[in-house]
Amino acid sequence: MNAPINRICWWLVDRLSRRLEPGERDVVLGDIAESGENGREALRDLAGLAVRRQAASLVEAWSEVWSEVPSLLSLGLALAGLIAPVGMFVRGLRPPGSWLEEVIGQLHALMSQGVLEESAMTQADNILRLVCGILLIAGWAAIAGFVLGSVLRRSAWVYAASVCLLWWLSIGAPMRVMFGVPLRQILVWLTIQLLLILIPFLVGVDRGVRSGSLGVGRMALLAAAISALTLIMQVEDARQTLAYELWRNGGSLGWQLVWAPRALPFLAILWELGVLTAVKEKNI
Amino acid sequence: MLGEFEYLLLTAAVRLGEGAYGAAIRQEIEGATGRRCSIGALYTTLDRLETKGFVKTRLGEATPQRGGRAKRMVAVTAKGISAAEAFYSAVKRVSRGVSWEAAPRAAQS
Repeated sequence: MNAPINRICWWLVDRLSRRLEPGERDVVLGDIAESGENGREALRDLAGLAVRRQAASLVEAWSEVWSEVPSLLSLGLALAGLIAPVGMFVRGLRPPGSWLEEVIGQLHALMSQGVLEESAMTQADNILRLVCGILLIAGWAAIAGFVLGSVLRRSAWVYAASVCLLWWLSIGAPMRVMFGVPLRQILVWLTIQLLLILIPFLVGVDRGVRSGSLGVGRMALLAAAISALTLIMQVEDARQTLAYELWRNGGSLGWQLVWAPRALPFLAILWELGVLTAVKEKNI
Repeated sequence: MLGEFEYLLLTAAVRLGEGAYGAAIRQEIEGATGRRCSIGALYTTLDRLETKGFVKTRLGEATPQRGGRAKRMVAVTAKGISAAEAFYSAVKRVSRGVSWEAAPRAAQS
């Protein structure tokens, strides 16, 4: 084996060994040094151990998840009970995933005409929605990653890799190519998703695995920030919908649209509930 | 009942006595079986044996040969010795009356 490959293998051994518990890392690296293995053999040995450890913690994590199923079902039913009446008021609201489409739409609007003419919204409105949308998507992705990392710890990277793979397979380039979308558009689409979702998600996983807990103060601050952004986004969304409906109907307005802003506090409550659940799970 | 690799590991640890630790056990198993023993298999099996109460492990001294890193010393417990003994007895019993040298090779192929 030539020297550069050997050096890469030893570098990988060093990086991979950091995934082990500190005590075990010391022992295993000592065994490798004593046995006089070359870089490739050491990497194979260490990778084997890391995979086994990941698999073991994965099984353990799933056992914990299954043991929590009854309480999660109860929580789910309680939330469903809360969501059902709220749902009657929030017909105009959309899930966070659709905000990605929203951001891309706003980018288009800003680049092409500056103002969404049909909705009579100003450029400032569009910029505000764009910024809120970006922060919300990145925030949601980072928090999802953080909760995953702090709950599952070492096995979190297996889940994170699965999420990345699924993300790529479901909305990645192969699917786009099949539908004949131009390459430039595919690259823009993937870059936006990479920056707004995947990178914040992976940073969140890393933080979750390393620190395990954000602390009540920081978590509350984060919850407040996300709630505020959600409210701004929904108010702006409702304003645009109202403006569009007024323009389309020549002044008359559907009664259900009036109710959309009134449902905003419920959304904030739902978010806080989610955060509290995450904090509880994190401290197990 | 022990598995084959668990038995090999216990036997190697007993043979090494006070000097039983990860790298030495690995070398002992590889020497006896002529097969490669991976670090992953060794340490996950050691963990399993420790959970079952068949071995006890502790961190040993660091040596310059190991780059100043600690060893994981292994001691087989009385329960582990009983389990290995039971496994060995079972192998002996099941092998009684069977001669591998005399077994017809044609039937295997």
